[in-house]
Amino acid sequence: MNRRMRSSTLPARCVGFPVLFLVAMAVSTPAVFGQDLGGGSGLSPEVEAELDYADRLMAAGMADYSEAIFKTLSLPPEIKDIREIRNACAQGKFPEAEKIVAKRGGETQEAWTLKLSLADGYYMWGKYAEAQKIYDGFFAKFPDGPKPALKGFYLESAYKYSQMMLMMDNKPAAAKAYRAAVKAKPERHIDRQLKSELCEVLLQLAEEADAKARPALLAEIKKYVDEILWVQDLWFGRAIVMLAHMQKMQNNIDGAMSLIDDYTSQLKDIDKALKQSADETGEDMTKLSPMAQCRYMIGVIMHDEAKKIVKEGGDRQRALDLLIGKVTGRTSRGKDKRSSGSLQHFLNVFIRYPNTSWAPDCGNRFREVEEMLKEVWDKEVKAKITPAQWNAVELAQFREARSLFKQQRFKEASEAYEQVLALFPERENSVAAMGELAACYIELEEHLSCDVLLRHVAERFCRNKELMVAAGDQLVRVAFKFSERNDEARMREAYDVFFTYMTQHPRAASELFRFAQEEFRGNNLDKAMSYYEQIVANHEGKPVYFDALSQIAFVHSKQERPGDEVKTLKLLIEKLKAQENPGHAVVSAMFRFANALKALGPKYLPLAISKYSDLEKMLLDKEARLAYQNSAEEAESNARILQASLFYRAMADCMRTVVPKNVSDYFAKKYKRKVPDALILKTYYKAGAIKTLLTLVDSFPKSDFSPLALSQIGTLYTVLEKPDDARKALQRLQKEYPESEQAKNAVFMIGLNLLEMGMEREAIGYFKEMFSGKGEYAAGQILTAGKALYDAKQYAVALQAFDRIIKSETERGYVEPARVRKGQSLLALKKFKEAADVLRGVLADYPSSGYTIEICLGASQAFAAVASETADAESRRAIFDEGVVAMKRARKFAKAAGKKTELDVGVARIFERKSAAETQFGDAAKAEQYRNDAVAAYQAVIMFQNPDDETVAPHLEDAYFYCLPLLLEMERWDDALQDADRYIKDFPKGKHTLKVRQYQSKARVSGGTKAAPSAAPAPATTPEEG
Amino acid sequence: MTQRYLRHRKIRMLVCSFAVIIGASACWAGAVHKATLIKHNGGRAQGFVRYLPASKAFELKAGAVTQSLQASEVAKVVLLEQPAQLQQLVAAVKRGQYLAAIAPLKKIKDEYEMFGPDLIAAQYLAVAYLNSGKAAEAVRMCEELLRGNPTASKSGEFAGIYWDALLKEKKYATLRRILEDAIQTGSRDIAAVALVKRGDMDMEKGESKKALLDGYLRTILAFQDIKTIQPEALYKAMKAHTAVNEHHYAEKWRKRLLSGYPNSDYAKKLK
Repeated sequence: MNRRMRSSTLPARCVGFPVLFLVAMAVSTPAVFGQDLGGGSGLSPEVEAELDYADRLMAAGMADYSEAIFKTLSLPPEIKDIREIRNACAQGKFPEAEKIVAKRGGETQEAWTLKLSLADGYYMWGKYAEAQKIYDGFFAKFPDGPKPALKGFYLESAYKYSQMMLMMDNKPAAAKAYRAAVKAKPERHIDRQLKSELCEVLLQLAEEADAKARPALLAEIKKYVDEILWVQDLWFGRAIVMLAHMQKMQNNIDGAMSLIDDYTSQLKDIDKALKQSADETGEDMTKLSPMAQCRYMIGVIMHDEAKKIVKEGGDRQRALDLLIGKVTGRTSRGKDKRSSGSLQHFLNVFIRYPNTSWAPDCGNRFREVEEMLKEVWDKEVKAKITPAQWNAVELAQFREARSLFKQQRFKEASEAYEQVLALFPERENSVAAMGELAACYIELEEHLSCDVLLRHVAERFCRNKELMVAAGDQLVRVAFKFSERNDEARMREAYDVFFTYMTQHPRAASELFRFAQEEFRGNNLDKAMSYYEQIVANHEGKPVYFDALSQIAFVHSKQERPGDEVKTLKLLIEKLKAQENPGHAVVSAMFRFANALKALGPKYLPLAISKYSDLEKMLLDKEARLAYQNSAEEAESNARILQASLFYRAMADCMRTVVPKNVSDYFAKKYKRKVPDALILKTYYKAGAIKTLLTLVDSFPKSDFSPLALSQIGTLYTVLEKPDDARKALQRLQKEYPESEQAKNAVFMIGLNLLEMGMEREAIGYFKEMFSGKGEYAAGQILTAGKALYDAKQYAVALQAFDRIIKSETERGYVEPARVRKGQSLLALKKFKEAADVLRGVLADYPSSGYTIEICLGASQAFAAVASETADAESRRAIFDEGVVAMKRARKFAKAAGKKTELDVGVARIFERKSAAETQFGDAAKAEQYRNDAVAAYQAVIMFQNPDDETVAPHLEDAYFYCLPLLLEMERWDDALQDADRYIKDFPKGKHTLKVRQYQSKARVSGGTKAAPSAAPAPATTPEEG
Repeated sequence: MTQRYLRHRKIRMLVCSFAVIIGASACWAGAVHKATLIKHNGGRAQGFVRYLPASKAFELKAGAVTQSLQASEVAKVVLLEQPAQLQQLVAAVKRGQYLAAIAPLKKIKDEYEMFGPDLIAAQYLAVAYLNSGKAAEAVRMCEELLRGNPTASKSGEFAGIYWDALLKEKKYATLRRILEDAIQTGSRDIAAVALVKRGDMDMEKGESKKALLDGYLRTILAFQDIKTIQPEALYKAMKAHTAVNEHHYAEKWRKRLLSGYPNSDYAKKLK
């Protein structure tokens, strides 16, 4: 009997069933192969619980913890010894275990218990020879079976040993162990089980044996089989199967075929008993039917034999007889009467025993026989297996697995599902079963198997019209299960598999959108984008398609890609307009489109303006706009967009810098001369903007944009030099919208607006009004105004703002920036001493300021300037040193290479100014020293900075530019020439190229050569920070 | 005179016979085989059959009657006699005698187009090309055959060889597309083979994990009913797990290969 057949006779999930059946049939018989050796352990439940805990710790690989528990227990010596041996063996400490065994000595049960425990330990560690030696020694002690007192122990040991040997695939040793067990003369049902299992092993040995050894094995099997056949139970059926195999092995196929007929009545009786038992106990034992098993096995023998004959070109009639039965006579109607062939056996088992493990293979083999009959003999089989019958078998098989799953017996359930799915891999029930199998894998933490299964379900069924939806649903269920277990990573992986393959699933689009929105809300824009893009690629036409496009545009906007935003919005508008009743979505998209065009810059301003106009035309037309509002809310939203469009169009007109040709031609024609663009921009566009804004205010007085519009109107009138109109607009603003931000900050807003439009002179007037003290203005506004003025290089006015803040505020957030900017303003106004004082104070008061670099840069310039005009040498040098210290301090804060280089060049510049000052005040020696320091500092930058770094390059160029004249002055012609050459090479289009070429020529003419550069000068001595 | 007449008559008959034969030959240029055509509806027709590639039809002559059947109507073609040399050539290829087998296999492939032996010949021809360093030729030949007979892709053995040729030629994109199609829509045996081939492709690119997850393990766990491919899948899974130091999994598949398929070529590699 080969392994495959063995597994068919005894499927994995049925291993326990024979024992279970025996237990059910013989109610009062105690279990033998368990703890009970005739008296129980005798320990208290508490101690048992502790021992169990110690065992679990050992199983988890925590031997030392296990031992710690064990040592706390007070145990009888024999149990203690066993435990100690097990603990020692678990840790591989065999000498220790052997000592315990040796200490006990003797041949008592207790002694042998210890020895066999040691043998089990050897087995666990793969020391099979050592284990076998002990067991063989044990059985050798009882050649005729054990004494009654040892019977239970002997039996348990023999059976355990037989299983160990089977796991090692050592069949001869397993057979020996079984024989030993039989010698113990156990109770009848156990004896029958042992003999039956022994026969299975002997059959396998007989199959593998040579012709010489086989007869003895078969004779032994026959002996046991004859004994088993005396009683009609499950073992009876298995015995018949073994007889059939023996017949086959002896080439007596006819003998095998006739066995069913010979034992039919007994097999039917067993079937009846099983049915009755099922009715009484509720447990379906008919799936163990020996009749089904026999028919199946004999059918297989006959089928395989027939295939072999056909393949080898043998007696085809014989093959036919095997398949459909031999003619045994004639019926009363004159038709052939046949015995059962494999076809009939398969059909019988399939239809009458659908819940057995043999039924599915019977179905498959029935079909194979059908095909063979057609192909080889051109015969048609009248009897058919209907789809309903297949379904019945399928349902029965799946039901079994599902029952285990529902009982949360996940290990057994997974094995059952694997078996049944191997038989029914792609049926409707299979998909749900695969989902449950995946759930089993999750419970058992077999993640690899789960991953493989999910991918299989996704890929195999994604294009299966009937099963795709169900398969996708299962994937989502599994993902949900991961989510329930808080396994976020695996949940996402499961969904990724779903999204990759189930593009046509009804839930795909909505799930993708859900994920996308979650990422979007978490600001994981790239991830969100990938989900949105999947929707757009695969789900055009679904509602979420448009939402996805809209969100893609948002992402582009957030990531500052206005070009891509525009393209996306254009597509969205096109797709929406193709829909019937697109509603407000189109209006919103068109508005966003216009805004995005405006953000692209001046070149696209005219296009943006035209899009705003289109939108306004659409929304101002009462008929046209009905198509774009499907509810009162949408109508209201559209109205808001109309107001916004008017406002932004007006602002865009104000921002124009280019007059279109047709407009300038129009004016030229009208006034019969070329009208300057500046005038057109002012009088036509800005005036036009005023009209638009007035329309907005008059048409929508309650709009949020109306106060903004009035504020802008005031600004624009100012630009158009219409101060009365400007004032009227401001008055209207303050009267009609007194609580608005614009009314409260009218002057400030106008000033800012004027600055934004590049009208500094006009802006200054308004800001002065702010700083004069009239009106209440927040410190933030004044600071903002001051910064805006500083940026516009209006330093004197800016100073007023900063002074006001410094005077009136105490909060560092306002005072610090005000002081910094004041110092910088003074520097810009060349009030170096005052600047130096202010900045010196800031550095002292805010040592870790975020403005440190700016302050230090400014301060060093101020110090250098003051020092340059200080006659007293000591003071002069001290102030210069202060400048250098400030630069070094700034360098500590600088992180970027570019900024560091800038500061290094700044230090060199200070040395240069220092040298110049010494020259001016007549100290030639110091002048030379500081010049050398300057050159050394420049050379350090030139040698060590990277010209390919874009941030460093501009400052590196400056270093060359400042250093070269000094080198020429020092008549270091070679160095100058080499530096000039290097500059030309690294910066062929540099900002100082022209000048450097002049230096290069001078150096060459003066005798410079391209020799190796002179040694780098010693670094300049710089003062340490105080 | 009678004798002269008779002699002339004989000559005329001979000439006519030759004319008929020559005429018949001219009408029936191309390989003709005695075969039975079995239609999808079960109908059968037996006679001398030839295949017309241009019109994708079979022409059958039975006695004086000639009938034409579109290839799409024919479920099966049963030859009365298989090509004499085919089995020997197959054996030769299996023995490694590739070069000598190429020309005769090509001849059989061409002469038996759409009759069945062409597919076997093509399969072994592809093997011969592959093992002679002519992978490009193997690909070209397979694709030519598939163009004429798209159903050839349903043959697991043929498909497997074609895919091996694509893999050898590193046509990964084409191969991946074809394999995905086979996995998603092919019969189970084709899908199982396709999964292993995809695993081979991923292994070639150094992606062992992918080869396992989307290749070998799928075949092992989800296509257990396709026994023929299991030894190969188990062996290759074992190798892939070893490559990523997952020795416990490698051992698991090794044991299953040895216990479940002890006589397979792949199990023998382990012994």
